[in-house]
Amino acid sequence: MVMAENSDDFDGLEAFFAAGRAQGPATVPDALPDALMARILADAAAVQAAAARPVTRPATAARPGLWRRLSETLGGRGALAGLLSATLAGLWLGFSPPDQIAPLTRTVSQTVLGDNAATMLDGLDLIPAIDTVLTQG
Amino acid sequence: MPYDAMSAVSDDALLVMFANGDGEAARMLTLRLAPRVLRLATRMLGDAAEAEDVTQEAMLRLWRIAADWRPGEAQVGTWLYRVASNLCTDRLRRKRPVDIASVPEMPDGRAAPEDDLLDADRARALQEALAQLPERQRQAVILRHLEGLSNPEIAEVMDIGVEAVESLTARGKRALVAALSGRREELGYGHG
Repeated sequence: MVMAENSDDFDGLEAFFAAGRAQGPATVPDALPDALMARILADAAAVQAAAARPVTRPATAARPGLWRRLSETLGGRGALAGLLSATLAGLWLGFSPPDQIAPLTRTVSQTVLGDNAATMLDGLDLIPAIDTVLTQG
Repeated sequence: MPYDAMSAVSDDALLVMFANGDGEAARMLTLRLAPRVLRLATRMLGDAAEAEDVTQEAMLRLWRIAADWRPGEAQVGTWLYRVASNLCTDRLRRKRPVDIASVPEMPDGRAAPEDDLLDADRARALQEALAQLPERQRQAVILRHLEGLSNPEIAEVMDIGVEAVESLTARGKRALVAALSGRREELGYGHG
């Protein structure tokens, strides 16, 4: 139950509250002490400075480009040059296969597959000319 | 912004200005809010040095929350009262039981009219009696009867319902009456 605030006892207490509001304990200051003001403002400045400071991320090395990563994966510039040469050679053979390729294919297949090679590999061309690919898709 | 112009700016707006790096906003907020916090903390703790520490800590928490403050959601002053009250309550709980001897004495050699002296004695007697109350009752009584907050404001500060505030202040005042009853005549309230 909440006691009525205007009871006799509380009337007497109100006089103490009035004195407390008017006077306060001796240490209740009328104004902020200078030293406390300085401490509070120093905190404020520190918080503002921390907020204004740009977020620093640990420095990370720039990510290497595609060709550099490819070159490193394959073993360096030399390997990349070799691969390029082989690719160009393959492309050249595709455009202009030497005349000896067809007999060579036959010889190799007969060595591996025996006499039935001609039947099994009918139409097989180990290095087809690129114009055939371009034509037939 | 000139001081006079800033005096018309709301606490909310000053806090936003502070978050944007305005140093003068910090000064204005401190002048406006910190004295009230210091007064509350002094009344609750009865120790000037501890009250100053609480005031600094409460203001620091205000600076830190400034960037995330949402204007209009809460009163800056009420929020600060709440933080300061909780800090005081934490300190009171750590140092229980209350040391009555820590209640500040009146300064010596003070020349004052007799009425002022009586008022000072009454205020000191009240402070001593407040120091004996459980911290929640003390908090509610100080906020209501010395700081002049309304019950709904106190409810927000203490994070309780209005009825709980009324109950706390009533019990606190009953305890104060008991504590001060022997001193009424001595302090000029023998027939009050």
